[in-house]
Amino acid sequence: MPTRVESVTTAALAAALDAAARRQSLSAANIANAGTEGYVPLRISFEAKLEDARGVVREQGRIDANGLALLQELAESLPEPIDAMASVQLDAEVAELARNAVQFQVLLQGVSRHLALLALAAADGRK
Amino acid sequence: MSTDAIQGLAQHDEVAPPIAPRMDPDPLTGPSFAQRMSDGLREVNQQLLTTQVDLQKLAVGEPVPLHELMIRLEESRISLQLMLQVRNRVLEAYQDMLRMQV
Amino acid sequence: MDYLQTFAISAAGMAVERTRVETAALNLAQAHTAQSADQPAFQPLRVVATGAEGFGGLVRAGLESVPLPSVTVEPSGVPARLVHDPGHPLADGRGFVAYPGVDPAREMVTLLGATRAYEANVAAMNTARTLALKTLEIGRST
Repeated sequence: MPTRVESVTTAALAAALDAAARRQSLSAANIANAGTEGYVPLRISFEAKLEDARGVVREQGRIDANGLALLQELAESLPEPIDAMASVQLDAEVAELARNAVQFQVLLQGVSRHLALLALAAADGRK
Repeated sequence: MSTDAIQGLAQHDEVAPPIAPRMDPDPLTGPSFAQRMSDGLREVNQQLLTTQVDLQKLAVGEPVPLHELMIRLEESRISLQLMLQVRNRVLEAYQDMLRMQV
Repeated sequence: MDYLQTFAISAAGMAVERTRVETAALNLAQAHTAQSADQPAFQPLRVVATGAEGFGGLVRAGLESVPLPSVTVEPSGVPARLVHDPGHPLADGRGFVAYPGVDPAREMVTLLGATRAYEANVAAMNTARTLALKTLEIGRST
């Protein structure tokens, strides 16, 4: 892979955006299936492993290759049922939908401004 | 109308103030121009690095105060722009000097 | 405070209120079910919501880790309501029929209170969302 400017931050944000988009469609599917007989709500249950990546960021002050790999795995992991007998709790699902939408917007703004900074530097201060 | 009451608001700056320009009263004994340029460069670089780490924390899900992040992002952008403008001016001045007929 | 945590807080509050509503609805539905001798008696349920620590602990901790309310549903231990009805098939030896000690007025008040509290939690969550989205507009091109 060719080395790109500040590719770590861009890749981390892109993977986080992937994960947020998947969570969004998962929540929407849970809500759509609220009335389906025998449907168990699904979640992406990778969050515990992300805690390791967060610990690394806290200690080392920046994300490392492992953390980035974990994040990318999260974006591709399969959803699992919360527990076998759970039923769809509409308020929890809608709250998750709202939370995820805000998270997606924040990540989007972060990527956009980060790339704008790089573009500013690359354009030599002239537009 | 006195502005004393408004000055009191300045005590509530929870976000770190932006890099203030150093006004050295004595140009002969203060740091040289080159020194100041490299100091400024280092500060801008530091601010950009902090911004990158904040964005990485955001991606991983570490709690980041959102308003501080946005303000720091904007400050980074402005200070980078300022630094680039200064660099452009310095380069122009240097090129002007090169073109001077001796 | 982490902006994401505010969503978890509101979601926990909404879950508490929803449990209150479900419990009140269940109590009301069972209000007139007569209890026979060979079935375990239905006890009207009560929701006990506890925060993890007191307010003092919260202030000391400085809102860094906010305790979320937790909810348990337990029987309230109200004695059964006896109604004198000798002709009833489930009447005991003295002609009394036992009904669960459900107070409809109390359950209705609970329903109203829980509805308002739920709406308040939704308002809190919407406000948090609006604030976060507005924060994103810092430095947007004017």
